[in-house]
Amino acid sequence: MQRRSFLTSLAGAVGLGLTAASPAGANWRALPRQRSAVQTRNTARNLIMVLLDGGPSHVDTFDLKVGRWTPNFIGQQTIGGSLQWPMGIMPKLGAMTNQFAIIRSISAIEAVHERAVYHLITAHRQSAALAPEIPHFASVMSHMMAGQRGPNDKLPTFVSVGTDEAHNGFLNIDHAPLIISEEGRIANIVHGIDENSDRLQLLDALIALHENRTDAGGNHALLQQKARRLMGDQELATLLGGLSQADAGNGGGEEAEGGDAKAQFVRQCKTAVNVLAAGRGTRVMQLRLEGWDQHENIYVQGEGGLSHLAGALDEGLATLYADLQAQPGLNGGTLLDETLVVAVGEFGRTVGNLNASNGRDHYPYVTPALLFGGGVKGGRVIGQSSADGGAITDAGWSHNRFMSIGDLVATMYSALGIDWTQRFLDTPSGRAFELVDSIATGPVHEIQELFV
Amino acid sequence: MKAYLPKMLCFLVGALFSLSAAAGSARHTLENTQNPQLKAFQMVKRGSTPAVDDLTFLHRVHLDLTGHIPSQETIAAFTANPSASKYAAEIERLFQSEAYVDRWVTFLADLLRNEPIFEDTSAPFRNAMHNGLREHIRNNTPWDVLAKEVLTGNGSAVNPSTAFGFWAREIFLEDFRLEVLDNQVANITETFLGIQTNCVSCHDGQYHLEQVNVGLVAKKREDFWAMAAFLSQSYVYYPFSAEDEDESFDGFLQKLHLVDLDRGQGDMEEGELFADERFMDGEYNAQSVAGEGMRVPRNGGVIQPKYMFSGESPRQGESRREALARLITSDPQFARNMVNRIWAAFFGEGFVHPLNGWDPGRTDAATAAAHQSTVQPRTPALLDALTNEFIQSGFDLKWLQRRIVTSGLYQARLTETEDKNDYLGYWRSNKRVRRLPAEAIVDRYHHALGLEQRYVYRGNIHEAVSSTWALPSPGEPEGFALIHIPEENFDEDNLVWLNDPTNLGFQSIADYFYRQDTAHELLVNLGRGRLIANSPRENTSTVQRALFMMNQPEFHAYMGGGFEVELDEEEVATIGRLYLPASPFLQAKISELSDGRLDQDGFLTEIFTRFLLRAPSAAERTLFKEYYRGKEIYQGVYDTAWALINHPDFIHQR
Repeated sequence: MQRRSFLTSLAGAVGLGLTAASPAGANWRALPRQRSAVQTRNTARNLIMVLLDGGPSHVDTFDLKVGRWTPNFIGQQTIGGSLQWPMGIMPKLGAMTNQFAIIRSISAIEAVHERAVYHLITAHRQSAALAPEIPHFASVMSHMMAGQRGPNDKLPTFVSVGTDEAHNGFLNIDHAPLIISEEGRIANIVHGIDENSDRLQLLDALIALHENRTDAGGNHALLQQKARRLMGDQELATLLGGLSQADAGNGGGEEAEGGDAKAQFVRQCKTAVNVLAAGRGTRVMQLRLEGWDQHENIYVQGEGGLSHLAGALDEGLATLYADLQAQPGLNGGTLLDETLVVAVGEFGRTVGNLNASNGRDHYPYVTPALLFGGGVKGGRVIGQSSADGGAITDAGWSHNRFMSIGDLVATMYSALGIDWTQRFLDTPSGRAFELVDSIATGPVHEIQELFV
Repeated sequence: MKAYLPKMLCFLVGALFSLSAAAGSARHTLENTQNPQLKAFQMVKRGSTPAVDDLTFLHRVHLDLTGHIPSQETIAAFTANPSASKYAAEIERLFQSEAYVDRWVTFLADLLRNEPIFEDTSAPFRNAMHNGLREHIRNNTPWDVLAKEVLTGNGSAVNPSTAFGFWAREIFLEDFRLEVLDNQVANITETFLGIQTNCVSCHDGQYHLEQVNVGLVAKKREDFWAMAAFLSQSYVYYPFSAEDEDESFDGFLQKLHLVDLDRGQGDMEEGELFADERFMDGEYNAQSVAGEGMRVPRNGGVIQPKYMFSGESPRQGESRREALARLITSDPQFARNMVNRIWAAFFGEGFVHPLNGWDPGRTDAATAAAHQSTVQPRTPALLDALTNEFIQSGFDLKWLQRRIVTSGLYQARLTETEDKNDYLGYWRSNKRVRRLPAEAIVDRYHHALGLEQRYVYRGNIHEAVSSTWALPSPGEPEGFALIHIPEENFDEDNLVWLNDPTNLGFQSIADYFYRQDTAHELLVNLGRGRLIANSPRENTSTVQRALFMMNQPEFHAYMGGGFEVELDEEEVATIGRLYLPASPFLQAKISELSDGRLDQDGFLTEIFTRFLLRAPSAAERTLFKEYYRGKEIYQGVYDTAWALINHPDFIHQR
């Protein structure tokens, strides 16, 4: 893309800003590995990853294990003869177990939050030497799908709630995420003082006098113009600015903010569906529900406790499911058919009796995930853990090893029709960048048991 | 100077090799260099006029030396002064100012990582180190002396000379002792040498770093561990007695000591060393097992300290940390690193960029040739010459800064494009225009509007400061600075105040909270960064920041005239009503325009000069006067102020 056209297209506007590191006109091409290419699943157009930030306790949620420690409010029930489910804290999901699949046999490696989240979002182990280069997998997806964008695609392919340690890396700034808040909004998109909207036109004219400067001030002027285009876009203000639909035309009114974690997460989920349904270029979204790092008082009721968070997740995922299903897809089915949803945290938590602070600590060895949409067959439980949830007893697939974080990311790539075994050679450091980091035990696999 | 003589000889010898290809004999200083390429850097002769106009000169030196724009009085006096010696005099005046101290303490505090780890305390060791750094900047302590103090600091954590803030993060955030030592020595090489060595903490350089850092290719994990071994005799010690049962966390922090077993501090009867018992012998035992720490398992047994860039060990009778301090400060890279960092503060980027990206195999012509590689720094002849002079000055930081700002190159009129025929063309081009740091923008905002600043930081509850540059670390200011947070039974409705905000000049509790929280919000959003969150200071322009400055209420609240902040009933009952004062400058202009004492042209000249330190261009003037048609005077004034705060020139150096 010519630098000029990249700068004037709104798609490039909402990234993290111009950085000197993005080489102009770079055409990073992924090259297939020497081994035979894989067959991709290609069942989804969109991806929503819900990051359960902090690492949820698997034995209290998706891989319920009941014991002396289990409080009454968990409300365990056996569904379909074999699935133990905490109906007391996730009733909505409990009523729709035929619609989603659970994986219980991912074994993560990292036990430190930052490193573990990094591994999940990049499919690479965190390394200080490589960090500036390594992109978020969603940025890679954005790059790989860039050719599919149309002239009306004014939002970036990748939209993320909050920021993480990896952004677009060595890829162009177009593939950096648009960052939205936990409310599902771009911060500060609305000027707010309606009587003074004339001043915006004044600023536009003032900035225009400086757009051709060749120094950093000129760059800044261009970014301000992009910001102004964002502000002036009614559709965006409604989608991502908190402007309520009813008031959009009147130039005023903002939807409610705040409330508890549940209300906030549901708003995030609704925003996600609206953004995908609007078809303005966004295809990959990372949502975030944080607070799962419950080292203390995990079973305390109320804000911050497990039941509260699980309730928020329950409500949010059920909302996602229903709202996606209610939207038409591009290819005849529903938006749900075309959107893979993955809810996963960076690791699980310690099992059995609680720790000395009445909580659970990090436990990467058994990490659960919940998936639906995008070709995933519902009603499946893949893999099994031991009676207390501390060890994987059945990997649940045909390969002779545990599932890794890399396999999960490969599955996401595969669903979107992207060959995860590819790699880029022309990185700034000269090191080859593999989409999914190689592992010592052999090839990385998609988890086909989700789909067939 | 005599004490530095032996060092000078070593460096002159080294310098002869490094400069021979470029600047001729090292005996020539930059002032009488025979190298025509470097003449552009020579000092502007006293009494000659710089290449830029007075306002640009003031904008440049004030912001770079103090982080503030000059006051209107200073501008008026300076521009009216016909004397050609005023430029040098103004620079000297800035060097003597308190604002200079604030700004460069921040530079050092960022470099030396002085940030409190625990949020709910009085930040005792952060404040101690902050006060220590203030004294150092005030007294212009030579950089090698300061570095040695930081590297060898031991004793009470609240003694400024212990520089405990530099050590605290790794000590408290890492569980595994070897990780503490490894991470800290990686911090040391990055801070004091500009070299990232943590790669070779996990694997040998060979087959990994050929494309990344040629100087580290030959290094092995054992070499890195041998560097970390210099820290292996150092521990945090907590002396306790039976009466300490109910000690507060703050009290606990104040009691900590940094001790070295090989400095006669091994006899600690009552107390506790922070370390797993296995690691209390003062040795670096590399042996670890899988899962221990976050690294691959290691073998190698006990590793002795060896400086990884020269192979030297501690001398007989020298403690390990003292040896490390000696070896680092006598390494030519030590001087190069600081020259690079100081240069970047004035020119927007270093000779090597990023500042922690030095390749020890490519630092100068001789070294690069030995590694069959290219010289890494831009304009190495200038870097080498400056480095030699910095060493000869006795590592005098103020000398180095003065040398830079009095140079023709620094005071040059910037070119639109880089002149490739000019060796120093890059530094002369407008590529060095850069966005200002967060503190400078916050300060400029308040200053332009004539608004008072008042901030309190934790642990310093008896005085307020009037600039965000005077804050000791990121994360300040915050609402809880004057509030005691007990470990239990914290009651939001019954706050325990350490001091009444009105004693510190705040109008009310509401005023205090508003100022603290607003400044915090502004600094965070303008890129101040948080070391604890692994997000360094970041001065880039982004769409998000542009939206923030245009639309965030704090950025136009002061221009809307006095209005009431909406508090809900409960908040009103507890903290009172808050009227935000309008900008006195804008109020005065509204008044003057209303009664005819000022016309639109005069107003535009005045507000542009005040906000942007330049006159409006003809096009800008026309634009604004067109805008004023049909507008109320107050509206025109407020909208002009808002537009200028969002003007690229408001947040950029030039």
